[in-house]
Amino acid sequence: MSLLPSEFVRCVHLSKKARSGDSEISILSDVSLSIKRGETVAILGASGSGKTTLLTLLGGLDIPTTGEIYLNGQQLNVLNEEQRAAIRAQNIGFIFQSFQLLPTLTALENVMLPFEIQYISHKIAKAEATEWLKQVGLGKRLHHYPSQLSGGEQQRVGIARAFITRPKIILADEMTGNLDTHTGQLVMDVMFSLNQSHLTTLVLVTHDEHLASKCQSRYMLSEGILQTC
Amino acid sequence: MLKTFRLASRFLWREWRRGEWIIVFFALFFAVAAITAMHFYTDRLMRGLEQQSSKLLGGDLVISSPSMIPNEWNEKAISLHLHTAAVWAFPSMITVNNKLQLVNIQAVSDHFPLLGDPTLHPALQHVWIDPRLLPLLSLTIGDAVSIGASSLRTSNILTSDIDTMNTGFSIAPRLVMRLEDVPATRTVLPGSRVDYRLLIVGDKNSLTEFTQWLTPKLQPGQQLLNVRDQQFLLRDVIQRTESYLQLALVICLLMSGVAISISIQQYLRRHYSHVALWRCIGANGKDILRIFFWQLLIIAVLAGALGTAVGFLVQIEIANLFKDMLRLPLPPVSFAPALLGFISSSLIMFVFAYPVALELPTISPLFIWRNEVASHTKHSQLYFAISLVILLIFVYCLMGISLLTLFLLNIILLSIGFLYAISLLLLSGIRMILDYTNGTIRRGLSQLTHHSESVSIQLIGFTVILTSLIVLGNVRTNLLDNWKQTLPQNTPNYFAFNIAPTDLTSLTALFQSKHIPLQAAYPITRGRLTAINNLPVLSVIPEGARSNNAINRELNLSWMTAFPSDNKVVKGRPWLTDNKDKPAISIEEKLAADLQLHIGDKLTFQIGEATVSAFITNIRKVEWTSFHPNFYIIFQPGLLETFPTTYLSSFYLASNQTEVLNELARTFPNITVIDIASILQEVQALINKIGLAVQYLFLFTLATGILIFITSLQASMDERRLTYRLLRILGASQKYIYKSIAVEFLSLAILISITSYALAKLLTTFLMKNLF
Ligand SMILES: Nc1ncnc2c1ncn2[C@@H]1O[C@H](COP(=O)(O)OP(=O)(O)OP(=O)(O)O)[C@@H](O)[C@H]1O
Ligand SMILES: [Mg+2]
Repeated sequence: MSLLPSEFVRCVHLSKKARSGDSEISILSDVSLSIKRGETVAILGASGSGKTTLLTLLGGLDIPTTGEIYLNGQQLNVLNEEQRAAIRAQNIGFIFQSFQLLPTLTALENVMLPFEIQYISHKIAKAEATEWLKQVGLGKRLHHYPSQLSGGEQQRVGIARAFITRPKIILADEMTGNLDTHTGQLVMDVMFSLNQSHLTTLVLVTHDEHLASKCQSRYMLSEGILQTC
Repeated sequence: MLKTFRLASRFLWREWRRGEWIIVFFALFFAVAAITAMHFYTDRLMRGLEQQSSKLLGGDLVISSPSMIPNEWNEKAISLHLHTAAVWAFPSMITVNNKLQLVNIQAVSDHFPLLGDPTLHPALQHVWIDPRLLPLLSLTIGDAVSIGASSLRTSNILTSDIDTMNTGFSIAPRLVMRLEDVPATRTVLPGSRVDYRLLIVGDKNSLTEFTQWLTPKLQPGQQLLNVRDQQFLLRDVIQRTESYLQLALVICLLMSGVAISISIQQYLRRHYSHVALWRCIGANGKDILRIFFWQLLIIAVLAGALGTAVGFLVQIEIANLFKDMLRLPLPPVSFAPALLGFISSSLIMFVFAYPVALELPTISPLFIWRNEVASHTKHSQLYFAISLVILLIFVYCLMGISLLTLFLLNIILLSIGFLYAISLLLLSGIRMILDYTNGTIRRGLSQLTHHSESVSIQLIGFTVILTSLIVLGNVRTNLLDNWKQTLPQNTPNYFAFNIAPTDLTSLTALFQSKHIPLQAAYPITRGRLTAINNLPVLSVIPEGARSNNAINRELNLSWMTAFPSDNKVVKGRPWLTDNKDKPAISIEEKLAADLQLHIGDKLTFQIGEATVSAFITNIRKVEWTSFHPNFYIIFQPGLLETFPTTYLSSFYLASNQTEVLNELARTFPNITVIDIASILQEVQALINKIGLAVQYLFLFTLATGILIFITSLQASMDERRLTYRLLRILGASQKYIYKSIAVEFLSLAILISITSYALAKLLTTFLMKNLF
């Protein structure tokens, strides 16, 4: 299966089944999707429709039961966990609904983390992290711990952490879900401006129609079936 | 590796800053401090006790010989940097004011005594005498006494701290003089009966080397004695103490292991989501493991270093604290415990913490969304088993713990498996009754079942700790009781030998009139073992037994219907009174083993001009340390009665009753009285000291156990705190929460107490039977 030059992510007939007790439930069925480089994509859907599951498959955190996923020309579903981890480190940034900042690290250290696990020198990591925190407007909060930051500030640290490795794609799972509308708006503005300046592909899982409307393409998941809208 | 090390130390520092690792660190630090303090102290204590016992013996090693000890032996010892002193012990008559008296002379060389104050020996031309001689000879210090052809001046009284044990039980009053003065007295002539002794002290390795060098050179009748000798009075006490100290040490190690595993489990559980995040952002599984490896190692090294240092200080404190009560000079610390503390900290950490860390790379990044963890991998269980074996080997090799290790392998492997099964059973039981409960009881119980994994670990851990402590306490009580029984306050401290059969009744009457109980009198005939199964002794016995005293000397042969109470028949059966046609004898276990004698063997003795033969019908175990008269060979009544016989008895005199001895000497000049009062006193005092040491050690371990208990509980509270905080937010009242906590801990405590008690009972019985 060849990839169109502009095509960055391609899913072919993805399905995901999960076993719960004796019964097998189908979470995703026959999902096909194609995302271009630099594109912004919104995935909408009711709770339990399988949005997070799709995102974890796109990010190589899990493998589909059937079907194929290609990321930047590399077939993800045939790789083992370690190989996928290496691809994640190079290409993918994650942003979570509950921020997932490590409570024992300062804002700066949280942002440095992706560099550190790739053994990039402390000096470079620190300089880069400082730069990114400035970009998200937290230049003065470098040495604060997550518990000392507001929700919006914590999520901006999360954004800085996702961007520091200059990933080719960012996967965000309801990143404004824990924030009020105004703060959510602010955080999304930061996000879109970074996307513009760095030409990062963006996949947003969201409930927010307004947010979705800002994306170039929109998909709707309902009971594991993906439709464009 | 270096890259991950740098990363690990950075991560560690960040976590440390926020208070993570503290409990793990503290648990390990405390464990190491306790283990090293205990090891430092017990090491000193054991060496102190051994030195004290050596002092009773006269040296670390003592050669005893009926002939002159070759000079070459002394030179060899000196070339090994050992210190030596020579002692000749022989009986001789002395005269003062025309009165004759038999004394036991102990002629000592310049370096005597080797242990204790080296100036405690008479000057040339002077003698030190037994205080008993003063009234016997109407003597005052400063008077001259004639020994053979010389006249020497008395200059001091012998006190108990001058090697009481050296010449064995001295029959006559003692007199100490200088070896250099002996030739002039002309009391020692060729053929004189002299016990030539060479006392030796020095470091362990040289002593071992010397022993190896000397052993093949020993001639019949020559003996090499040390404090660990079968015959030595305190051997048993010392060995049991050593076992007890080691038991305490191993239990400390075990408790530390429990504390570490509980606290590290909690720590890692808190960090599952951290690891999941690392996985999400692309961290390599091997790197994650390496990072944790380094972190554990850094913690182990830091806690090890600090713990060892604190352990050292604590040990000084303990030594100071107990100094007055123990009154035992302790040798300086040795280096070994420090090294061991260090190694054990790393080992404990890796045995108990690393298997848990091994599961980290298997945590899925999806943990961020769904809090589920794959349960124990086979990998980590295998690792745990392997590292446990390594720990045991370490304990076995470096701490020199032998039997205990085997025993511990049993407790650890069996009881952990057993406990795990019990905990699963109990938890499922609780789950079953859960539906029939309400309110706080339900809350508390379900709290237990929810954290079933960590509850199992706590159940096992706390049960191991509690069981160990109970066992240690029980063993201590049993040991102390045993020792108290070994040498009760009124243990006979005088032996009376050579009692003519005709004197027996009047002697008994004398004692009765003084209200002093006289112990049962044993008849004695002296005879020499000449043949085994009709073959000459020397041709049948094993090479190594040639020097055995039993075949080189006349033996005290006795006969009786019932054996003394502390003799136990271990093989064969007691006398059969109806079986008169086959003459029967009983033989002591060790002698039988040395000479390779068995039930049914025929032994022939030469008694005077006659010979007597009899068959071994049983083998006895004898408490040599009991200070009771004991016999290698006992005949069935009816075989020896026709031979010349004397009687042996013993009695206890308090220090204000010794006047009786002089009356005894006047009325029965033939009876010789052996005074073991001062030896007995010393031995009793030493046993008391050891008892105290054991007591303190137990208290120390108990305190350690309680602290570790609290630390572990602290660690396990974390998880519960989270749930209860949530309940509080949901509106549960303070009272509701306290009540459910009470239910949870009470049921846990009941489970733990019952299992611990049952297990401890079992183990104590096992230990007392096999080790002590
Ligand atoms: N490992 C699993 N085992 C069983 N069921 C699962 C598993 N993973 C997901 N599911 C189920 O699949 C469905 C989709 O889950 P998913 O988390 O993708 O939903 P979602 O669209 O992200 O919902 P929300 O908007 O609430 O976050 C849910 O019903 C969930 O319970
Ligand atoms: Mg979701």
